[in-house]
Amino acid sequence: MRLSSVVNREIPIAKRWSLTALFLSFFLFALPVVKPADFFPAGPAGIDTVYASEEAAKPATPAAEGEAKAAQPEEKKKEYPPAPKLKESDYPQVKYINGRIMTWMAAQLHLWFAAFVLAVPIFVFIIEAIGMATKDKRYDKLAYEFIKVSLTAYSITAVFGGLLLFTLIVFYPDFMKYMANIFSPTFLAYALLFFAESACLYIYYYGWHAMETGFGKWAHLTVGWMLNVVGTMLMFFANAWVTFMMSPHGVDANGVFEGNLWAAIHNHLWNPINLHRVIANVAYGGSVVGAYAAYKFLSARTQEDRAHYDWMGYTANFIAIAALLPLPFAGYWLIAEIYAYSQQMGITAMGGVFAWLFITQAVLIGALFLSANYYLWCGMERSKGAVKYTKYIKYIAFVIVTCFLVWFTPHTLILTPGELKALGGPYHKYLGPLGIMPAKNTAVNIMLLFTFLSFMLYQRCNKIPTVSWASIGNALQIAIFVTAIINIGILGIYYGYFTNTVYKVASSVLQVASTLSVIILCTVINIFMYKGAKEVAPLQWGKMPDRSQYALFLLAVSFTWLMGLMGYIRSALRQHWHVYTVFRDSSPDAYTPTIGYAANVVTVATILFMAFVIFIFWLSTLSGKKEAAHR
Amino acid sequence: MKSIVSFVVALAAMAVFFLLLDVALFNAQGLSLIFKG
Repeated sequence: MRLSSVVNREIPIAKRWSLTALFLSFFLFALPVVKPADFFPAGPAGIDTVYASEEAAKPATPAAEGEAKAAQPEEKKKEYPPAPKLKESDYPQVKYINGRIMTWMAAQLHLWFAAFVLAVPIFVFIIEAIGMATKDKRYDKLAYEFIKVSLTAYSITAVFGGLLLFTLIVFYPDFMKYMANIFSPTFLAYALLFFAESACLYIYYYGWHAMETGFGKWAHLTVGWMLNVVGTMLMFFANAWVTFMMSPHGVDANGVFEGNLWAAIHNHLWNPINLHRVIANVAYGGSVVGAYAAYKFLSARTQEDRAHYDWMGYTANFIAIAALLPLPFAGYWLIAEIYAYSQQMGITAMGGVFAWLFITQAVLIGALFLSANYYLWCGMERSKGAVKYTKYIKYIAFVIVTCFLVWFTPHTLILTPGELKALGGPYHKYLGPLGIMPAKNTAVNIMLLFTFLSFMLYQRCNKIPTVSWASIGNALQIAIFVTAIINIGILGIYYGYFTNTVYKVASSVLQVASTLSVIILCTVINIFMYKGAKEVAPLQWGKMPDRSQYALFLLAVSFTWLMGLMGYIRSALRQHWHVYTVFRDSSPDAYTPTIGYAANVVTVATILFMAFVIFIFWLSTLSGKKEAAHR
Repeated sequence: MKSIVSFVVALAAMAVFFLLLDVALFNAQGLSLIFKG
């Protein structure tokens, strides 16, 4: 007997709806209004943000320590010690193992898997809700298959989380002790939330078929919602620790904790990282399940399977693109806040030692855009109505490639004296101006608009609008694109090159607003224009060339590599500090490695991650075979 | 013909929309649309 049928019999419909509303309203409305500050003890007033200074780097002298202690209230002195001033010998060494590399690898692998397992339930919840609203069983099947992939990854995430914790305790015991002094309540909360997340995930997955209909489905959806709430809270806690290390708050210049945990959590970079990671995780999760769909598509033996995995790949690519479009804006906000917190940190990131990694980032982001667009163009082959749009693809490709070239044009080059002389200076006469941010902002916004255009063409290629105002709607959409591109161009060229820096920075916000306006306005017009539209012919799912699936693999690999490299930059911005300007790193590895060395470490980690991912895909195939045999 | 007229009208309307958007967003950042070097 099914659980859903029991539930359906016992609860009358009115009560069922009120219970559902109660469940959802609690998570929708109650949680956001709870102020985390209410749960944490209030610290003394006037907590100052610690800004970049070398004060904490000075060797400890008895006089200085005495002064620092005298400045603290008696109670605080007893409870919270200052950040320790460590020596090289304070860091335990394990023969044949480099502590930094091991911690780096464990943290990176944990983060990739964590990003994946946090993202998948977000869109699984949405797909399940769509399936419930449309009563289309295909969505339910798709959502179930997505969550099945993430279930195996969940265990591996926990294993790497454990490995990371142990490596931190073994190689950086004093650092962990310092962090525990400040964040211990959140460590415990994290562990409890991990239990809650595991419980939600197992109920969500194993209860899928038991709670398939009626009220059971609502209850199942609620569990999915709870899974997302708990998962997001877990990530926010972890974000608080890493951002505290970058922009410490709630501590004084000696690293003495002021007693207000909320201040330490809610530090300067917490919210920018929270937003950036949520969006990036969704894009990343979409790309990894896209690779899964491609793997299954290529190994499918029947037309039915090919059709199913083609549709799955399309949905995954759609999720990845939908999250990729706003992602550069969240990244821009994050780096702007890094500049606002410490200009030194910002310049180190984009104008200093890591500038060339940003060029690598630009190449990888370009690869992401090109592969996502290529997949959409190949996808047009599913529709017989695509012929009318295929002639435009070459122009879209030209614009995207041109923007891509501008996007990764470097500002400064590493030149020999001979090359410098031949060039006539450090900057190229014509390409030099393309190396600065106004050109890149303009290029990336146009690249986003044309990716959105590819998506719009894909969406409409199999539809014939039936509304009388279709030609006016098309004219309006073209006008929106044209004016937005002109606006982005004027903002980038005039305000970017012929006004001062304040205007240059301010105009980038306007460029973002222009791009978002196009996406929102054109989507709204499309919704109304294609309401009740006729189909040219049924979409031929599965009729995709095999090469299109490699675009999905490229998307997943590029995302993984990109996250590793940019994550390294984010972490390495602290340079020789465990906690920036407060707690100095005195370990033998407290130096910034060369870009080549860092790229090699990240590349090895990427290969390892991909090997694990292939293992997960293989496991899913095994369980699929078992299920098929059982049926 | 109807499409061309619609396009021209839409172009003008969207130009005004983006101009107002620019003015509002510059203003929100304490700047005016006209740069006085």
